[in-house]
Amino acid sequence: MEPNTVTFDRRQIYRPFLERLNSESPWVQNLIVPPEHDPRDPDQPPIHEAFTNTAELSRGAQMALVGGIGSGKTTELRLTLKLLKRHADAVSIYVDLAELTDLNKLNPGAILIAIGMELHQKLKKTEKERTGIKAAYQKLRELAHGKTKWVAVDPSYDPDPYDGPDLEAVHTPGLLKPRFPAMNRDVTNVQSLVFEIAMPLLQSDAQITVLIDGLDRLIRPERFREFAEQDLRALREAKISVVVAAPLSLWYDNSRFLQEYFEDVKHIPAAISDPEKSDFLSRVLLRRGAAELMGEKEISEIARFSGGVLRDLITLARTSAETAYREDQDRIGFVHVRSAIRQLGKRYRVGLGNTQRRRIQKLIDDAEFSIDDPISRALVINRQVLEYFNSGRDFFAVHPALVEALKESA
Amino acid sequence: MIDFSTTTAFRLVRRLVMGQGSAAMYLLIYEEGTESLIETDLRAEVDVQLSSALPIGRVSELLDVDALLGLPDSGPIRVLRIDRWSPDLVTLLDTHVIRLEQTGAQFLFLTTPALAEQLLVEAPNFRNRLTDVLRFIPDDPSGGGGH
Repeated sequence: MEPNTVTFDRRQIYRPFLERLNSESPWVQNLIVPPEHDPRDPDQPPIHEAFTNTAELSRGAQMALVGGIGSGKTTELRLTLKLLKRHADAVSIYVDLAELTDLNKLNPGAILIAIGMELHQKLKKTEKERTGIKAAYQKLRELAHGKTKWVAVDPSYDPDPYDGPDLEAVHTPGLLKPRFPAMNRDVTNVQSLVFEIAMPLLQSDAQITVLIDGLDRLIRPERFREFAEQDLRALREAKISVVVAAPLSLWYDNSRFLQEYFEDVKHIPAAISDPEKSDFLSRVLLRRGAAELMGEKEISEIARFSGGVLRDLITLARTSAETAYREDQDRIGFVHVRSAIRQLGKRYRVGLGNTQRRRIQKLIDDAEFSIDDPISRALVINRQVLEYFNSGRDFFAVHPALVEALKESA
Repeated sequence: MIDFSTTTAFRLVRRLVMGQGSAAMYLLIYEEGTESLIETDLRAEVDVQLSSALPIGRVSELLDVDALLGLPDSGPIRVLRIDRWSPDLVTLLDTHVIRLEQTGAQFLFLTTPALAEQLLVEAPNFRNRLTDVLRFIPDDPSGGGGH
């Protein structure tokens, strides 16, 4: 290479764009385009505003957020966290349980422990030094990470079965069935430790809000119910508000547990915005610098075939950029976008058996679809079918990228 | 199996170079019998294009939560073989996929068509976080497989 020659490096064109599409980068949080209203009701404020208002006005309120995979639940929780900071006395903590532990091996009380430990971080140094708080924190740490204690074997131990009559507990159930089961003893113990730690904050009348992410990813959604009835209920007595991401399948559950237990439940459909009616998705791409790499036609095609799903919008933009780069192009063309759409569609096509295909075809041909049917429900949870809202009415449509893939395979 | 786009080690690593610094997860489907060939190709390409070694492990390592937490230290690109079906593994991938994403590394999951299909169906969270699903073939030994 000649000295002082400036070489063209195509990577530098695409890398910044890909970095801006990466939702895990901390600085990408500043590029978030906040929704302007509740996705189910254009007359209502956006979810993060509604949750913040409730937490500010009704301390101790418990709220749940359900939504499809990639619909933006974490984004809404983060926006809530940001908005809560508008008051100086706000103590807000964000706990991503999937980050802390193996969700499927989580025991009742574990969430409460995580919250207690986070609350401890919010205390002033002098408060942390108080004897009661120090002891409570130490116990929580032991409960969280376990402890090893060496004890001498007691030689006098005599497990004599003839010491006295063995008694067996026989329980006669009461006539009034409690609405929620009793809190188990371990949880009650953890509850008192957490309250001890939270005491300085509660005494100063602080507005405490806990945002819990990750529980929506529980493989067995009934376990969520257990955590709500134990860990979350333990927080009700203190004026600690809670916003928790819950599994989507509970939204469609006939038991109406979410609606019964929580003061407010918000649902984000996988399709957060209808690309045919709103430019929200295009604005998300423009905010991340799409205009530097592609034209309006390409942006609009990506928005349209994302079906309104934020994560698919990002996936399509990313795959289009990678395809253009692979083909040594300096800009993303329509052909690259179409290739990305085909790839996404094929991914949704995987695993569709005849029964699922029949449900999908019925929806395409006759607009018939029943969410009460478990196979149809699985199609919604897997995002192969998307739920939209129009003038207060819910309706379903096959993911547009999947429609394309099905046409191709026909 | 659905005809996902095809890629080779050269093309894939080129893509990874461009995406360095951004988390990514690729499911790479190989035909039985080509595994060692494509691993050799991948190692060679990472060596040439990124001047670094490529750790290749088994996805079952992720069952160890400590290993999962130590992932950020294991380099910007990590290859994990999925060579047998296990419900525990699927549960783990499905529930902890976000943790992998947060490491900021690029993960390449190598698997067979049958396992890929099972995984894509039974682990929806994992599927929806994948950057791409590609059929992975050995580089053309004649040298003509560049693009």
